[in-house]
Amino acid sequence: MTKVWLIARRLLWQNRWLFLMLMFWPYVMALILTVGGKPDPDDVTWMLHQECFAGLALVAVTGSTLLGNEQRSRRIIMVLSRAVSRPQYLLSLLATAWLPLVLYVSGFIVSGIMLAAMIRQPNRGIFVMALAQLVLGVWAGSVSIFWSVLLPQILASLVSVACVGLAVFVGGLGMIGPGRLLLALFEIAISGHNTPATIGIDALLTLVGGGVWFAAAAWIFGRRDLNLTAD
Amino acid sequence: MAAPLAFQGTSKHFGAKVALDQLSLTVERGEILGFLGPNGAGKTTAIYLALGFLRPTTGGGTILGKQFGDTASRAGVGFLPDAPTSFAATAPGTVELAGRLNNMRNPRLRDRANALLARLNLSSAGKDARRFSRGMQQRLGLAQALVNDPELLILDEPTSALDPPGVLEVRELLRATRDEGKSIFFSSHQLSEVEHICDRIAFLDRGRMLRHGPLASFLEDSGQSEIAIRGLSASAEVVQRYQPYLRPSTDGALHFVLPLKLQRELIERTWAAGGELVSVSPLRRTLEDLFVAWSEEGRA
Repeated sequence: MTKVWLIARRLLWQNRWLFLMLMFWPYVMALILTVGGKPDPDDVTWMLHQECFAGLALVAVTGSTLLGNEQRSRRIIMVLSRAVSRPQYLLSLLATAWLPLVLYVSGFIVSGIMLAAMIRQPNRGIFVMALAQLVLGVWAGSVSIFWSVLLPQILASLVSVACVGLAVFVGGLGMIGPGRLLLALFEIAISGHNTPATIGIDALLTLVGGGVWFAAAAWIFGRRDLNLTAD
Repeated sequence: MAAPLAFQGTSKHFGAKVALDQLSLTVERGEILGFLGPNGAGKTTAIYLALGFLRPTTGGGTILGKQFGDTASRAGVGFLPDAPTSFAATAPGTVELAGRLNNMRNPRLRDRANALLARLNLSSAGKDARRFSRGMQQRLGLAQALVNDPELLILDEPTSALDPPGVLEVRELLRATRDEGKSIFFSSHQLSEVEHICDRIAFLDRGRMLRHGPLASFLEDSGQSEIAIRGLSASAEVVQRYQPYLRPSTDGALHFVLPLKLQRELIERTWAAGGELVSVSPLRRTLEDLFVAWSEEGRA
């Protein structure tokens, strides 16, 4: 794990300005909503749900582009010529894609609590949404890294975001796991009303699903040539 | 004890293109092996296969006794790519990262990193290694490659961006590393550098190894000698007879470069004609001559 963190720390530092800007995104949205006075509760709920999707899209896009960037810049050679295995390397990419979500979610929680206070509503739903986002972030990151192993960057980003959308669709059909958790994420109210009783099992299944996608990505990546020429 | 690096009938195909064809080669302990060949010969492909970046199409090989691609064995390997890259970090931070990824810990790591940076004149280098000149990045890459005190060094064009003092420094560093019993696999286009430090060479062209062996054996005997004579006019019979071997000169003597089997005959005829023998020098081949000859042979 130390090596994973050593690599992820460098990758995060490379993109620090982008990630810091994203951290402030929930505050900017909250400011826009409150600039005209007390916001409408429906608008606040809608905005928080949009932020949830944006957070997951952030992980999906970051996860799907990291491998291509590192191969194109050939920094991957610097890392994989040392005693670092390919699964360790992919795990560092997953950490790099997921950790900014923690920053983003911290902004989501603080701005959400402020908005809930303004509209005089309980804020339990903010925490449920935040936790669901973090769990789904692991899954979305794994999915995007899987596609980044197989596809060029732009295609991998599109397919990864499409996978998140597809999961919402299959969640609507009643499929347990990430699909149903995503659907729940977009239906939970600020007060925590509408939180499904199955959210715990869906969160667990989402983590397992993320693990399966990641294991598949690591298995394929370990059997492929590095792409050191293009993308 | 197994050779530090061994290619065992290793081939790599990219679609229909054969980048490496049945390469069998070993790097022995305590030697510097120069890996030569024109652009596109397959040198970098071979290096990437050894380090596990690419997977062989057929065959395989071992690195420090383990199959190519083995993660743990890379802790004993130092690698310098042809164009080193780094994360946003200082020179000490960059070298320490390489060491930590190879399982090193402080304080040994910090001491060794600082010593290497001092030796390679990078102690006072600026903050962000990404903004270093190409020569500085190459020296930093070498420090990264050496930080874990590797058993095997794999260097891809290690001196291509260095100024003459830098080349000398690196040459001494590599010799010292070899003298400590470490093995060095050295790919380069800088033939004078190869001549200076390599014990053996392997020449690759279009993925096939055309020659390999001790460097001295290739260089010592060209099969020709240069003979300088005086006291004969250009129209003398003996000069006319050996006209194809006459080389231009400015010292007033006639210089002939000819096969060894004709040496005695020319000398005797020169004496018989009243000429004076100035010098007889066996010609040593240069690696450049060999490179050109082998490349032409490969194309043929």
